[in-house]
Amino acid sequence: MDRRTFVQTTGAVGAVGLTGLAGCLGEDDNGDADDFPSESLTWMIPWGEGGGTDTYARQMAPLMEDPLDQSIEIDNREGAGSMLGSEWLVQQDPDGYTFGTVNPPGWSFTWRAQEVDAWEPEDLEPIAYSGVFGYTLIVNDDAAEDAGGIDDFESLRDAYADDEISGFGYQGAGSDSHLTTLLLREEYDLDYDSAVPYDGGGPTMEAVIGGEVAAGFATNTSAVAAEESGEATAIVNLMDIDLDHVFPDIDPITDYGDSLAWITEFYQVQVAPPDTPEEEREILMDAIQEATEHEETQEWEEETGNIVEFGDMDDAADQYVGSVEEIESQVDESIGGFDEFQQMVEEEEDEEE
Amino acid sequence: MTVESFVGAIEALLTVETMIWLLAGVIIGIIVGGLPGLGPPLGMAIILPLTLPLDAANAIILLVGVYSGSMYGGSIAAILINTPGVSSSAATMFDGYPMSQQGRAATALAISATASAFAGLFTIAALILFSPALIEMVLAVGTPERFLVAILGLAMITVVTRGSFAKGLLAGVAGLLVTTVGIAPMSLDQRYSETMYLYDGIDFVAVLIGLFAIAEMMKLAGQEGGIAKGEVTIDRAGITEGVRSTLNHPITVFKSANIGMIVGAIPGAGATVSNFVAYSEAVRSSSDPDSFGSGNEIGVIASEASNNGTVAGSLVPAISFGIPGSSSTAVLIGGLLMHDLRPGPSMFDPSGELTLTYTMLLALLVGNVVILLFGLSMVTQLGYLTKIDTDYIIPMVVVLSFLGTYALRINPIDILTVIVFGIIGFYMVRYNYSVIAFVLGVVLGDIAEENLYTALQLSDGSFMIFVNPLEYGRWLSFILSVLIVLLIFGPYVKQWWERRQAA
Repeated sequence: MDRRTFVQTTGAVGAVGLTGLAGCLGEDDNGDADDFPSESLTWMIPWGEGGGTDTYARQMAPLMEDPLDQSIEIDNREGAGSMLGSEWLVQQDPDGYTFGTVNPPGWSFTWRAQEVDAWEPEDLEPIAYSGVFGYTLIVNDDAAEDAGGIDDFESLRDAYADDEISGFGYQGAGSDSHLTTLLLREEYDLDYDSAVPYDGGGPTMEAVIGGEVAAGFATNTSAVAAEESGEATAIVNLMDIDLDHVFPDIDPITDYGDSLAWITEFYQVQVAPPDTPEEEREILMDAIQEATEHEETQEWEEETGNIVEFGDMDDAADQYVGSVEEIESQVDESIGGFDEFQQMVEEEEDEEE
Repeated sequence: MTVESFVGAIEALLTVETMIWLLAGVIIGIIVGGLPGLGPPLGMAIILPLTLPLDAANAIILLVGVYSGSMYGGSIAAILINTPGVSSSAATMFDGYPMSQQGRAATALAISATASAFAGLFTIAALILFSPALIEMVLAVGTPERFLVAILGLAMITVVTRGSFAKGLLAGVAGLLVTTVGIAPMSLDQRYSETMYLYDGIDFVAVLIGLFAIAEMMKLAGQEGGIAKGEVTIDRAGITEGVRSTLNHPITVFKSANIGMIVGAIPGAGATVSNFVAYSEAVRSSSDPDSFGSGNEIGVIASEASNNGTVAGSLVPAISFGIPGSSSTAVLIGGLLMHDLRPGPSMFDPSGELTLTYTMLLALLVGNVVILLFGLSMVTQLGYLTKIDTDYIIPMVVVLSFLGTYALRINPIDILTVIVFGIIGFYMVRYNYSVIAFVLGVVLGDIAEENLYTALQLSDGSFMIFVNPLEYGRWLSFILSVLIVLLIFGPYVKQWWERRQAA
């Protein structure tokens, strides 16, 4: 690059920073909700670029700019399983110009598992939710064939019980999918020979497609990709939400026991810093509703298999207010509590050593 | 019919509109790649929603143009200011920057453009011809193989370290230690993660920027004049020399491009790893290994050929299985989905989307020609940067380094990392500790740990999974294990044999 582009581009990056500063300085002038929003907004995503939540935001943001008549900057603040971005959001000015997306109940689970004490999920103010995603189980086609056909939860269970297949992949030790893995064994009699942690959704899906493990977790959107690969099939829906329109033959886990939605279904909930006035949040909520109902979003939903669903401020609050308690009581009931969960995780490690 | 798809793809490509999007993509890529911290994933993510109004082919061409251009762009900062524009151009610094210091920046830049373009051309052509075989290979590579590739990379320390072997080993182990910070990737162990900002560990790109850019600026602060010491030749002769030098080393280009493509096809390894493996292989096979690190043109050729080769390789798992090997390909898959294209075998099926896949690959071929032409025509202007007085260069690079680092993941720890590793890098160079060995440790530590843990989980704790193909059916693991042993003990055996022959 020559010096001119160098300076110009640096200028552009700097300008982003200055806009952020202007947001802080302009707070006094723009306290009035009547003309909200009068300057650009910041949408914090606590994950990196290219992930599921980021994709949702980048789909919605341009469509929200029309009703708001302002531009929206996406600000990716990844780290510590979305806790870093959330903590940042808690500390922002409650002027409505900064908001973010969190994914309860997985978010509440991470908060509890990491024993965060600087803030609480309920400190954040609800705006709306714009979508939902969750876990399915996918099975490697070759492994399924060798085992004489696996097309529902029951046959998967039998195949593990009879040692016809081997390995069950989940998305990271200590994660929500790890807890679900343990629950599937304890409460749904899924007697896998070894549960294998992978570093997130992509590697887990890859392990199933490549046949390294016979079955494993995939979100509903990546399960679509897994099926398209021609190497794996989604056979169990761990969510309560109906997936029949995408996977006509998928087997709902609820046929085999209680709902697992409290740990396998995640919402795209938009939240604002503590004490953000309701008026501003309502304006944002209306813009989100408009974006979710937009024709382009509907098309995107059909094309990508993402589930777009609008929930208003109260629905959004329902997704995370009290969800830590709910998770705690569920964990207590099924495996005796969080300490026991961590102990089980450690025991699994010891078994390997 | 495959031929029909191919002809269709050529027709689709040869329109003014498509060419403009391709050109725009490559140029945006070069700029994004040239700025430290603003890697291809960010550039692609920003462009992604803007591709909505475009038709599918143009949208994908724009995205892969950015991806491919950034791989070349990364080398510009690496050569001129000793900062990796993208992490996959880290090995370009080892010899590219010394060339700048010697006043041969124009040659280095011309080599980078030529090697990038030729490797890109070659690997894309290979991808068009051999995609079925590559798809098979992707499925054969699993967790144990990824662990072994990381170990192979670490074993390269024995090859790339000059001078004291003990110091090289010490540097490598220190690099590995850096990767232990944060929550353990596969268990819940917290390591030095007193603050939440350290949960995800120390970012290796921040380490690279500190080790190279900041350490070098500290050194430059004590030096008068520009980066180049003595006479600077920025003329057509330098460019011609660069192009000729690349053409004179077809085997290095070919080999490095292949390494790039194969390692790139392994999800999770990617361009950063292939970059080091190709560089180390160039050192290993050289008749004059001691000249590397002080401006050997072959070092630049190997590094730049490999990272552009990676682009082709990484497209294989992304297009055929929807497996994102890196954040860049994750965004690309998002782009495919957004335009109603589902990654999967249908992308390689003549009755499916093969025409579009070919259009994309051919666009990449043309994109590499753009890289060559654009790269070569910019050399003269860029080369002047090395003549600018360090009084102006240092503040610019320092500001850019910190800005770029902060943009990585907006984590204040990264700023601290840059400062600390800047100081460490400065003293490592001064006391002859191998920075390359250290970087290998930092880059490969996480990959090795994560995959070792998972592999042992698969084998119920038995290490035999890496070496016993009869029980586990993993022949690729066995071959990799043999390669590692050869790499470590080969030189000693050779010495012993030669001594025996002489006696």
